[in-house]
Amino acid sequence: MVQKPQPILKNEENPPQLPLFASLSENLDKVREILGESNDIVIREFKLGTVGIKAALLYVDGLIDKALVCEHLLSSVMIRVRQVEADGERELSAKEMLTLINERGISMLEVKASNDFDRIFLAALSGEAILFLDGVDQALVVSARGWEHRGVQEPETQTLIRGPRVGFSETLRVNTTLIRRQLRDPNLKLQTIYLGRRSKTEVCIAFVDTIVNPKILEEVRKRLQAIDVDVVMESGYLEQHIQDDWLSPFPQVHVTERPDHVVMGLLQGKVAILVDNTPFALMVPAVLKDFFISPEDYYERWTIGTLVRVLRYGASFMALILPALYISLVSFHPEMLPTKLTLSLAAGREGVPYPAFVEALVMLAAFELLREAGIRLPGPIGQTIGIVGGLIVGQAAVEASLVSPLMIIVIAFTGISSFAIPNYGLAIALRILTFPLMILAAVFGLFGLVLGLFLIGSHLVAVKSFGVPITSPFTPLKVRELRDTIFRHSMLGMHWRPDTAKPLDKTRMQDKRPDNELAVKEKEASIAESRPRGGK
Amino acid sequence: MQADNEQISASQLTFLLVNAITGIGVLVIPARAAKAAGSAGWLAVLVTGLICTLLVWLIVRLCRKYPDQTIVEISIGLLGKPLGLFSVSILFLLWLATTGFILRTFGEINRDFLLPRTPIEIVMVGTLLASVYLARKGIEPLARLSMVAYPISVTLGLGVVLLSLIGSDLTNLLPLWGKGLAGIGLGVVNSLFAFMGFEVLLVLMPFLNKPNVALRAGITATLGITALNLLLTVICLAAFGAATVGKMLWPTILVVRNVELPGFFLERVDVFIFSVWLIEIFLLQSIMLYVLSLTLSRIFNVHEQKIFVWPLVPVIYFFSLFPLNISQLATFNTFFSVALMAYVFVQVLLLSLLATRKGGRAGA
Repeated sequence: MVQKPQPILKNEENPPQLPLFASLSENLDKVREILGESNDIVIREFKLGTVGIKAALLYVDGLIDKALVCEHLLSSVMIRVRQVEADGERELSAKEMLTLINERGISMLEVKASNDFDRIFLAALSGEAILFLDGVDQALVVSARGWEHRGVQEPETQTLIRGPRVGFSETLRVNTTLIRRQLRDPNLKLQTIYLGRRSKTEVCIAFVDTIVNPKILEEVRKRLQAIDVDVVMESGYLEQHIQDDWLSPFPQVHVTERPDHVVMGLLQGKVAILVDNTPFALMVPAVLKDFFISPEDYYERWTIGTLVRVLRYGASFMALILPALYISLVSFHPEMLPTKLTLSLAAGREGVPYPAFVEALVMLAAFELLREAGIRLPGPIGQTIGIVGGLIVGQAAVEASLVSPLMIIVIAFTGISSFAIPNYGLAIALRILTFPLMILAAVFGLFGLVLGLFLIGSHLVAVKSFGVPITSPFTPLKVRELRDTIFRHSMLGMHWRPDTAKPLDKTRMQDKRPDNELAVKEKEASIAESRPRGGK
Repeated sequence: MQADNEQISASQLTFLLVNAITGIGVLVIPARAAKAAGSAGWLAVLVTGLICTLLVWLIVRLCRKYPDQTIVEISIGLLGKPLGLFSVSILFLLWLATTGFILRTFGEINRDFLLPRTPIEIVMVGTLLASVYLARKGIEPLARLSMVAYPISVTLGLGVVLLSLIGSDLTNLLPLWGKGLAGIGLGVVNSLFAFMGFEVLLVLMPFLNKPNVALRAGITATLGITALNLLLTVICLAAFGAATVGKMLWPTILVVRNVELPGFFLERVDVFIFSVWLIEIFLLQSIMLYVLSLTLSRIFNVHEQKIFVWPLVPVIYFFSLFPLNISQLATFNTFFSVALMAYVFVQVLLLSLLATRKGGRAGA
């Protein structure tokens, strides 16, 4: 027996704030008063049945599928109802007519009766068609959504070599479909909540209810319901409202554009939050190691996955400390480097008028500028900016003795490293932290750099995402999980779900390899044997 | 949001203890032991380690009777309010002084190896300020960071130190008896500096999620540290010989300096290893700040530990400026570590006796 989902929409069960009138003209006056003179509001008035009960259809032009409404809704109520009515051989009251239309007259999938203006307006503005009848204080809400939208395309920010070329789009229903298509589990639950006092944005909470930890689900619901803003433009609005620590530079919510990534998260017991009008879904709880994982790691063989994982961790460390390390080595501890390197460094820096810190700061700022400019410009020109900025300006800067050649290498490495991190939020966080580290290194050398790293570490161990420390499973240490963090464990060995989201169902697969059949049988036997003993 | 539940596991406690003990001690232990005991320095270290393990056993035995109480409540409960507060205040002051001197010791090492021209005061203030952040976060983040930082630092450091065995001469360890029994005794006194820190168990035990694992955690920590200190002493003795090691200030780093890694992008590994070790020192300061502020909050019977961290900073800084020079600092270090250990021993023994005598009444 499937548990009945708790009502999420606060007023779902409540009596209507603004009930419908029985008279059609009063209802239409109310509609005109509130929806006003907007030119996309259409009210089509007509008469129904043999007696000619007055009726009206309300919809928002552009949000509904006109062909569907004409062919099935209007033709049904205007023509076919008369035939049905004739069968009954008597004249119907308005109330009976409504029931008749609802139950036998409309050949459309989703029809609901409502007596609340608020809900009717929300429905109409979401793209439903509303059918009013004279003499009844109820209206029929007929689902007929259909508008122009971008189709399903390859995600721009998370491209893979191998894996489905499918990304979320702006329409919530399309996105939930993409998830359903990959996970035909009846336990996958998609619940709706409307957020934004004015925007009434549809937000979908997705989870697998036999895996998800109820505490985390409850926390997600609580935090979402506490949001009181007038508009939810994008999932980023929600992310910033529900994250644990708004001061932290590190992301605490996983943002993804890929349905397969969301499905992966759902099966780990995470809760996904999909927002209408944006292709970016949120997943919580998110720990640091999640940001280093790309779905592709699991599509390729484990050796490849392990190599890229190790690379990514190394890259993130480089992106964080490389400029600061360069500054401290050049300005404070040149004796640490091999003599030859020190000499060539000094030769490279000869003629450079600025201290290493200024040099690094200028170059890093220039790099960020190039990156930002590259994003704004259209594709082909963006690449040109990269070449002009990176190659030509860099070369010229070295020749003009503004920066040393090694500095260019350091900054280029830093930049490339930061792009190797699959998660944009984490990459940005590390790039931001590079600057304070550089300042510390410029003032205190290696001491400052390590002090900065210690502070970052102190911060990281204290941040939690929905009750989960974001540094787990490194610390608090979970040895069993370490094999799928920096390394990618073999598919055959991944028997358990990661413990990040504290899933209820921890088993991912049973070991049923042929050569292990005996072991499995022995194990089952021992479990069966131990059961009665466990009972007492 | 869900707050931390202020509980740590046995392994987390082990790492906290190890961190509280190792910070500075490992950098000086070979010299301190060899100075007094000569080539038998390692024997002195071993004896000191065993003594400390015994002390840990005593502490755990006492604290286990009062699973959710720190030394403050235990002392007050057994000695009465005035006497209990007085005895804990002395412990607190000793901790305060040693923390200050450890900070100063770090400043001196830092001047010798990393920042020769930076005023030592700036380095010490920087260290203190950095550790405040973590100390205010509570025990769980402290434990988490030490658990991830310690293995990395120790693995890197030990890896390099072990490499220095290549050029060393094990005959330097002879004669086994060194400067004789008196020398070894003095060596033990000297070595205590590198072992103090485990007594923070006195206030950390109530945070264990399972009180009955405290003994295992404490003994693992002290024995682990004994092994580490022993190894370092043996390596330093073998590398330089007892006479030289005894004259060194920071032998462990100097032994690293001797190591050359062909093909490594760094030539001077000692600076690198010391930089990695800095994290341990920051952590040590954070742990001590936490322990001190926690003791203070318990003494004043205030629930919040956080608010006591900032006021401690100037006091610790004051203590760190107290020694006039490096030789006075060494004397202070020896004196206060011995005083602290002796005091802890006496207090714990006394309280244990009282607890046994009161027996059922105290437990109720």
